[in-house]
Amino acid sequence: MAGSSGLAVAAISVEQLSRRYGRTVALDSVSVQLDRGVVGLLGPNGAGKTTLLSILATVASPDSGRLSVLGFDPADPAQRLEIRRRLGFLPQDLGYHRHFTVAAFLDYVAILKEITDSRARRAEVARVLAAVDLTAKARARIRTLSGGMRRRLGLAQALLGQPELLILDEPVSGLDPEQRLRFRELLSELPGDPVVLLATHQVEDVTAVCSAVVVLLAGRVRFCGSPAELAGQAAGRVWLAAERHGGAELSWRAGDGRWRHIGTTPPAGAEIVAPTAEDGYLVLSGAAGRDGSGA
Amino acid sequence: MTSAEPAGCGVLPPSAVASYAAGGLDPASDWSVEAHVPGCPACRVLLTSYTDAGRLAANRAELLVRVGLPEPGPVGRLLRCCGVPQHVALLLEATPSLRRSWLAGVLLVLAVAVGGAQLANVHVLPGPGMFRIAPTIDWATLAPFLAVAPLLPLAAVAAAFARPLDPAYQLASAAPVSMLWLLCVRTAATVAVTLVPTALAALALPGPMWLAVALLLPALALCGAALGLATVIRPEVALAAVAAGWMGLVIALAVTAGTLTAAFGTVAQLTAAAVLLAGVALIVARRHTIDYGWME
Repeated sequence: MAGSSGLAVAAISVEQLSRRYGRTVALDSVSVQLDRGVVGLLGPNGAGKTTLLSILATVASPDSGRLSVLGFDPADPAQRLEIRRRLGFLPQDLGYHRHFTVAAFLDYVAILKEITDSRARRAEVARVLAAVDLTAKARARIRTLSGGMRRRLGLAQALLGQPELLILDEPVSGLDPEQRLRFRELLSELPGDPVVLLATHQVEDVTAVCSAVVVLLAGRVRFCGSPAELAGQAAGRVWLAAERHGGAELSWRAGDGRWRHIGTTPPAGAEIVAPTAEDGYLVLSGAAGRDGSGA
Repeated sequence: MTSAEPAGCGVLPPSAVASYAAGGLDPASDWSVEAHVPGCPACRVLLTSYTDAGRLAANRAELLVRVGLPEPGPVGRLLRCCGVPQHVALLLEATPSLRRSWLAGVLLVLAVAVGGAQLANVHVLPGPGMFRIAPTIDWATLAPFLAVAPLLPLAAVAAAFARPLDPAYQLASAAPVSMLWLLCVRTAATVAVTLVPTALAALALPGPMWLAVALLLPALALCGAALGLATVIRPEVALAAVAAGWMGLVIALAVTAGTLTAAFGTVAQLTAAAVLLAGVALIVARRHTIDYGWME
């Protein structure tokens, strides 16, 4: 658990954070410290990922708990403003003014981000459009864009102003494989040493780009560590076999025709294989112990 | 310079062409180079050698962005004529209730209400082409206008802040721009743009001239009450509650007194002023809820 001294050194520090919506507990005494770099946030739907990101992005307030973002306390209005000046935020369900053109929408968001000089705004809009490969669509109305293009536009608005803190809620949903790779490249090319918080269902994206992973389940932090450590949660619990093993908690047939099993006790003589981060996540989330339908 | 590098023409120094390509010249020198280069093959080649592909791509992207930015609409032009800074005008132009379609809707509602009142006040006499205008005001004919007019600014404010009509509200909440400031400028703009035609329409009614002024305070009170309440309960609920409250008052007056004039009389004006002040006080006292994007 984070101590009070930890609040000063970590890029993001959360202590005993709770948030309820009516009778639903979205976050239950969450404590976590995050350093600079790309951090993946994993968890099933309803785990509290979006609530946590909304609180860190200062668009929602917690019911209780302490919070430090880039050394600022969001509870204090002046410090909250400093966080917002350093923030790029992509909400899970970002709405668009559909009558706007792509350029006009980014121009609008740039004004909200206090870029009031029109020349500086145009240059910044051009920069982020190029970063997400949407330059050719600058004149297009948003309503004419595909879902993947709108997601890239959402990413572009988050990049405006070269934020020090990027909070991205499901940034790759709707992107094709090529664009997902481009997204990974984009994260790698971010200038400075920003903090990037990335909520996703794509465990392979977390493995590919994140230096740390947080697994959130039912409003609580179940794991915080590196992707390798996440994979380690399933060490000795993943095996391959020619036939389906009834004792496994989760089984599926791999591309080579063999069955991949996850369970607590591999049978004698089973071919134990190195677990992936996805295996580790499945073990943690309990999907391997429920109905075998995956997470 | 190596032998592979193109030489200048002798008229314009190569350093000037290099500075031009890098964007480092003052406007007068820029013009000189641009006047010279099209007619000088040597300088055109020299300029090509200095061209940076990255800078060209950035210039092209900026040009596409410039083309992608629409010209300001009527509201935007009006705001800029009034000296509103360009970035503030752009923020206001994005407000749904300041768009052309919304304003057209307001004008249509007013035209129907005024036209209805005017027609109801005309009495047709027996015989071809014979009609007369009623010598006294029939307040019942003004009832639809009087009921609807104060609600128009409220509807405009609702359209400016209701989440379903501002799909990008989360971005505004997470941005450094002050939500309270945004609330103030958008409310002022929407209320002004709606109240002016409403007051003008009141002047066109077959009623007393003071009606145009008497409408203002109740309309502002409804807006103030709704925004103040929205810091305590969900904005949609607050707006609906205030609108329902006004309609309840209107119906009660129509049933009990048979006229709506009491809703715009002296007592009503004083009550409206008190409600407006209470709404503003609530907004100021609970501005932190606005800063978090209203009640979550």
